[in-house]
Amino acid sequence: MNITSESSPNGDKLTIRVAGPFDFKCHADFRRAYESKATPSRQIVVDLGDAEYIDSSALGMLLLLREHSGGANASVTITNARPAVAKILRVANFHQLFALS
Amino acid sequence: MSSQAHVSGAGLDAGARSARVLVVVADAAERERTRVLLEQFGCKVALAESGEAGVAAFERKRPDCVLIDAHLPEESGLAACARIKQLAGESFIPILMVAADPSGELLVRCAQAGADECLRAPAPAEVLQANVRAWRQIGELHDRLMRQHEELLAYRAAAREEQRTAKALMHHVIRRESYCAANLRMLESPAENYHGDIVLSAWGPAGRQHVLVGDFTGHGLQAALGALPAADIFYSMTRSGFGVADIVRELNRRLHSLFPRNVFLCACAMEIDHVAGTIGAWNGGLPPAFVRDENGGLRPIESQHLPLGVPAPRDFDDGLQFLRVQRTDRVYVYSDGLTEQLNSRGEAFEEERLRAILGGRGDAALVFERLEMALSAHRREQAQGDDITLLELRIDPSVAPRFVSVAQSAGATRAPLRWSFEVRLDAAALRELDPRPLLLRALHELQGLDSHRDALHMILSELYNNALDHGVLKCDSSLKNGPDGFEAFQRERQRRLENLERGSIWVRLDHEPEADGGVLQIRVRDDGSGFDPALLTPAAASATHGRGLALVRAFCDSFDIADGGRMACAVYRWRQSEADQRAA
Repeated sequence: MNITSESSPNGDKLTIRVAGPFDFKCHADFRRAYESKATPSRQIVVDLGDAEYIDSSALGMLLLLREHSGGANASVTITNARPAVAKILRVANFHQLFALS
Repeated sequence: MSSQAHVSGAGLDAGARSARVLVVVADAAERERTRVLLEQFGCKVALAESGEAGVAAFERKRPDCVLIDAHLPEESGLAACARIKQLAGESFIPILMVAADPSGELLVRCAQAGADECLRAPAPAEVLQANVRAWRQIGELHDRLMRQHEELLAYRAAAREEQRTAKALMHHVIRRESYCAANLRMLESPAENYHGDIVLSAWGPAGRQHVLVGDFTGHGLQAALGALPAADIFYSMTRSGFGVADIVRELNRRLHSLFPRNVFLCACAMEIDHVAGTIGAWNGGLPPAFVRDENGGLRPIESQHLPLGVPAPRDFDDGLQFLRVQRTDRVYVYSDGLTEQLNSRGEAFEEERLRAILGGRGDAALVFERLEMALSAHRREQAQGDDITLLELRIDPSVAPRFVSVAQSAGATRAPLRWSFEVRLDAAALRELDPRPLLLRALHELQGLDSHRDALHMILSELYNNALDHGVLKCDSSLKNGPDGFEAFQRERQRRLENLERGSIWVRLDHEPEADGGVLQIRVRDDGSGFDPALLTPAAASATHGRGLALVRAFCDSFDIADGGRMACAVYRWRQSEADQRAA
């Protein structure tokens, strides 16, 4: 469980990085990563480059993040997912809700 | 915040200062000196001058800390120490021994008696006070750990109880009808804790089989909580004659409104018409299901949708994938617990492996066993991470209940009455809704006829579909010919329905009582261009289409096509059974 976050200098963009297994144990840390920001960022990037694994509660966390950032108006991008992780996102059809790159 | 202040050094020190200390010293002067020093330090002090009096005082006062002279007369200090330790039981009461000459041998015997520290007598004030403080701090730490340990045990017991409840719910409610169908085989290997897999199956009124395999997020009670309304919706809507598209739409609406965004149901739902050889499937978030033909050829049913509960109801897509199937085909649906099961080297079972086993040539009847064996060989002693669910569904026209109702309660039919009921749908209404459940409901409310429900549902469905597909949408049944014909027909039908601008369908039910039953007339009219009733001869009914109306004819007392093919009129005569008459 290793979640770090970083805001761009002007605060427009928030990048959340997940390393190791992205599962139910990450819940509190993941939420803190975006709720702790005083002003919500307009653009959010979730970098899964170091995420080894993703489970359904992590999918749920991504949905909560999207809701927190404005639901249908949210700009949430998921980047660098490894093949196994990308496959799970694809089966769940998350490309309909998130920009995957 | 207050608990943090409590564990800070100052807090502990305050605790040490107000500690209740029992002093067991034979020498009156030394006893008195110790009392004064400890009281100056803020302790509450109780005194005893012998081992026996010390043990009695300990039982009476239950102090936080005990100080014992190792060289007591009569009962020795060491014996008193051992007895007090025993009386203290689970709680940690530090015992400090004082000895004029704490030699190596005495130190060992002190430790054996359970003493925590041995001080040289007479102990100077600061040594005494520092030791009482240090040991009292350790005692408080121990108390806190014990409290937390007990809390944890209580939590664990509660969690176990919840798991038991969740499992019982799953067993009795969710899977109640799953085993009824003779064409289903299931490999269910629930993980130690319930992880949210559900399997639902039921027969619709017209002999269609509905099956849903799902995987809820979360585990335990959270997953069970979601599964309950899901099962309810599935069973009641299936019984009322709704199709899978309507059922998944309602499931999504309900889950979306009931649960926070991180709770959802990955599911594959299917409606199977064994007689017609068709499957309509909706997959949102479950791994691909496979239709296997007798040669091991596989057709996947891929996930095309977001899981149930995720999209807002207005964004929900209930589009089904349609496949033609034959009686030698088998369908395999599974949750990702199967493909993600690890072996001892941490490797997953993987979809490729599953495909290879399913797709192998050989006896279809053994595929399930081969898969079971491969999984158990893969898993061996490895703990199971998630629920594993694998469903095998055999296409078999003989297992479908042919319009024979399952369970009917007496009193389901009213005394025969005279009534009419009609409904007319224009193009916008046809695009939006399916009137068949409403018509069945009307039949139920007006006349009961529950034991005739399946036949009536079939007749209504055939007449309505015929009017919609051919009269209003003008779909050509010859589209159904060819290997992908059925899918092509369904796609075309869907496209035309979504773009429908003109057209209407009128349905009228008329009921007349007779001596011991009644006559129900069902008329369905469309405003299309009609069709040639000669198509209704059995000779014209091909393998892929045209059988529907022939079936209606077989179930009705009379059946006619009028108005150049625009109006269908079916007459269904029913007799009251003895049970009906008693209830009436």
